[in-house]
Amino acid sequence: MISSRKTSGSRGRRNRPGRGAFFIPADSLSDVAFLLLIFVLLISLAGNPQKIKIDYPETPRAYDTRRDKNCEIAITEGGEIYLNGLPGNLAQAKALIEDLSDRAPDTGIHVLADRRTPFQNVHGVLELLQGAAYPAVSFAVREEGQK
Amino acid sequence: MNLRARRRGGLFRGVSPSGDMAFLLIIYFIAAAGASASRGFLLTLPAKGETTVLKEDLLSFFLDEAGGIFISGGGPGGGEPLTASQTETLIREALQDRPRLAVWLTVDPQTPWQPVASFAEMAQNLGAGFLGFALAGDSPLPAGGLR
Repeated sequence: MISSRKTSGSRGRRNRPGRGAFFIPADSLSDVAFLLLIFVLLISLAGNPQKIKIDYPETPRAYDTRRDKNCEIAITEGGEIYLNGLPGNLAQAKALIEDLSDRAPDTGIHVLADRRTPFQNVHGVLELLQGAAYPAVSFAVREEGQK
Repeated sequence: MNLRARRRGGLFRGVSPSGDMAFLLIIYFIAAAGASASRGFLLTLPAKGETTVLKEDLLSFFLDEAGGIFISGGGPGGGEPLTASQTETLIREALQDRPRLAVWLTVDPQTPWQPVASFAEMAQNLGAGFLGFALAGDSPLPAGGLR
């Protein structure tokens, strides 16, 4: 049974804040949060306008190889090189690796090579890493069956 | 039964939707951060020109353009490419006999990165401490030479 109970003094009117009762109408804060999310996404896209398309090779196992400090060398199917998301070349990669080897050898270097790129494109980067005697290098892969 | 929603007064009335929104945003950013974490496998590359390998510790393979694996000097396949399980067995048995085994992979320049990554991940997972790469046509042996 639904009961309708009137509070004393309301006299059947809807329960509105009385005159002088201060409150902040915060119902629209979710709209603001949504707009902020859109804003942040757009800003992050503007900071990295060139999307690097890498289709990682698949292996039966993949491990989390992230470190505190990381450096990414991406190699696309066509052989273009990106250093930490920015277009580069082998000479710039060499300078970056040598700098890291001297200044921050604990930086994790991740080679993100497209599964279809010819090996000669990856070999150039491997030679640079071997030349700098970088201790351990991570190769990005995707675990089989995962997208 | 009183089904009328209880309404509370106060400074921040109606902020509960924004709380839900903030929670969803946190979930979104945590998921996004997890997805961007680099997954792969770590490989210790031999330093260029400094690595000397004992001749009896060397196990050499060749990877052709189609991704077929051949053992240098002929193998159990007898001209046919080795299967992944045959390759794995070869390396596993060699590691049992020679703990300081050096696996050397010569790769055709046009071979896609996928079979190279699969081979490297498999060898690394089996415990091969030394894994070197060479382009077909270059010196097929470690730069430091054989002893």
